[in-house]
Amino acid sequence: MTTIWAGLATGALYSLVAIGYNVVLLASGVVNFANAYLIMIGTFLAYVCLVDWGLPVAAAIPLTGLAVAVIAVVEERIAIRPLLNRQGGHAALITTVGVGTLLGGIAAKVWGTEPVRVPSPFSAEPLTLLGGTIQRNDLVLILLVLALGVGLHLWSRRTLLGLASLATAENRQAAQARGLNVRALGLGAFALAGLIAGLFAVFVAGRTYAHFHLGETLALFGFVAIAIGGSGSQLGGLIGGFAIGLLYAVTARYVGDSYPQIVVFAVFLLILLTRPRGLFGGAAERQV
Amino acid sequence: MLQVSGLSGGYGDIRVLWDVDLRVRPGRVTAVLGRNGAGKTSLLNAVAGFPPGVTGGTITFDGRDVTGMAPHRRVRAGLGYVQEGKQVFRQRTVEDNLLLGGFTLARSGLGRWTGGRKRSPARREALDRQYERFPMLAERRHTVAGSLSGGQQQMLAIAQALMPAPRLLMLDEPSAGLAPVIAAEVFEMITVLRADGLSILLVEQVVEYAMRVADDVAVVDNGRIAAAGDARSFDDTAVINEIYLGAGSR
Repeated sequence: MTTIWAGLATGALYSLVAIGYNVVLLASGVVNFANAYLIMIGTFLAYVCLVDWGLPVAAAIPLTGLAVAVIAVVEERIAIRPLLNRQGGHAALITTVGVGTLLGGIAAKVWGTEPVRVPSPFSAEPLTLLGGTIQRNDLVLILLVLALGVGLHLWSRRTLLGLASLATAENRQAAQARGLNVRALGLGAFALAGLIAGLFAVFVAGRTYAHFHLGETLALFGFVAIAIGGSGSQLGGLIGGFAIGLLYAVTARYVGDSYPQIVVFAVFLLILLTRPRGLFGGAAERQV
Repeated sequence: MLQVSGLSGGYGDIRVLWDVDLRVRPGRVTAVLGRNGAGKTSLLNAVAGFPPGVTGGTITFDGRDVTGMAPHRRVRAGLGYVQEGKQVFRQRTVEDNLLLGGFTLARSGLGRWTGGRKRSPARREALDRQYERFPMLAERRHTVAGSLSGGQQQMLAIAQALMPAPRLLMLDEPSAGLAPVIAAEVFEMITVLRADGLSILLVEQVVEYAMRVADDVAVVDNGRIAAAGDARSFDDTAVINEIYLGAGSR
């Protein structure tokens, strides 16, 4: 059970990244590869707030959230907005990778290449739960990511604005013709994704430490999570992330420490070959 | 109602509209005719706020200059646009498509962020009105739009544009890709809408359909208005020569 808990906690990280990808993807049709790097920057900013400035957790979390949201908005203005009127959809993938690399470089320059320990808001005393042990921070992380994923899923299905973001992702010009301000929607999505990345950074750092290389790992596995779960499906991304985390932990425990990546990517390829749209993606679309 | 004066525009360096004048009078159907690639769709797109970019001239709607306005603001101003090719949200249900059509009826402020899809009374009323007008859509309200037939999708696209009760409805090639019987139904609906007092700007390649409903006609050729006037003053043969044999101005 301890293995399961560890898998779920790692999976929560991947789900969090997948959720961030989907927020932006749904509203503006762009894969924001830099999203994982926003979380990485968030972990350092949390460190600055908690250690350098000595702020309490209750102040550090919203401050980090706001700061990362601002970074995400700046990203949208410089890396996405100039591309919107051009044809061909892959340019945004390149520019967001560029922003991610830039953020990684800045983090390495400012905070160094060694992992930095960010103080956790919870005691280090592990909990015994359902026959396994788990860190308090990890349990909170799992629960919060679950709540976030389900909440966003319901929001996108039940509210008009959520519906508008699904519609914009599907057909941008038609959405404009129906009176939707798609630019504001896109910018709002980046701000929301940044806010989420920043708000969760403290809990992420509680599991991983702040490290300039964190962005790459999270970006890759988050990407696998939406590919497995189905891009554009919040629930799919959520489940995809947890599934990878579990698979990773179980493989490491029962097969051997050097196998988890191989197994995860083998499953990833298998799903891409058999269900290219992911397990939960695009099932509703039927051509007539 | 709608007054386009001296409109020029293009895509980057490629100019597609040259000094276009067009007037849509209230309660009338104005048909824009022309060959393939004549600039008909470009003209509608420019009026709706989409590319081609406008480089000269003005677009006035209900006495308001809308020339530089963002597309979503023009919808709020009362311009409805049914784009070519049945541009519905194929992955969403009929009802969600209609609710999205009524997006501009949403309350302002925080309520728009958290409000349920049908919470706004104005949107619910608009929905009921469209179901009354298009009973076929009411029967299929929970069907995914992509699985409707072409004609049904075209009707849905029209109903969607009608949701915010526009004062001018622009239709781009409503008969495109439809069997003649179905196209006839679509034009039947245009007649009904005109009878209700809606002003309509119609782009149509099939002259026969367009002439069935048009009050006024404008012929576009090479991005310019080649002829314009009361539909009765155009006899069919002259119009067809005009458009398809490229006879130039009358």
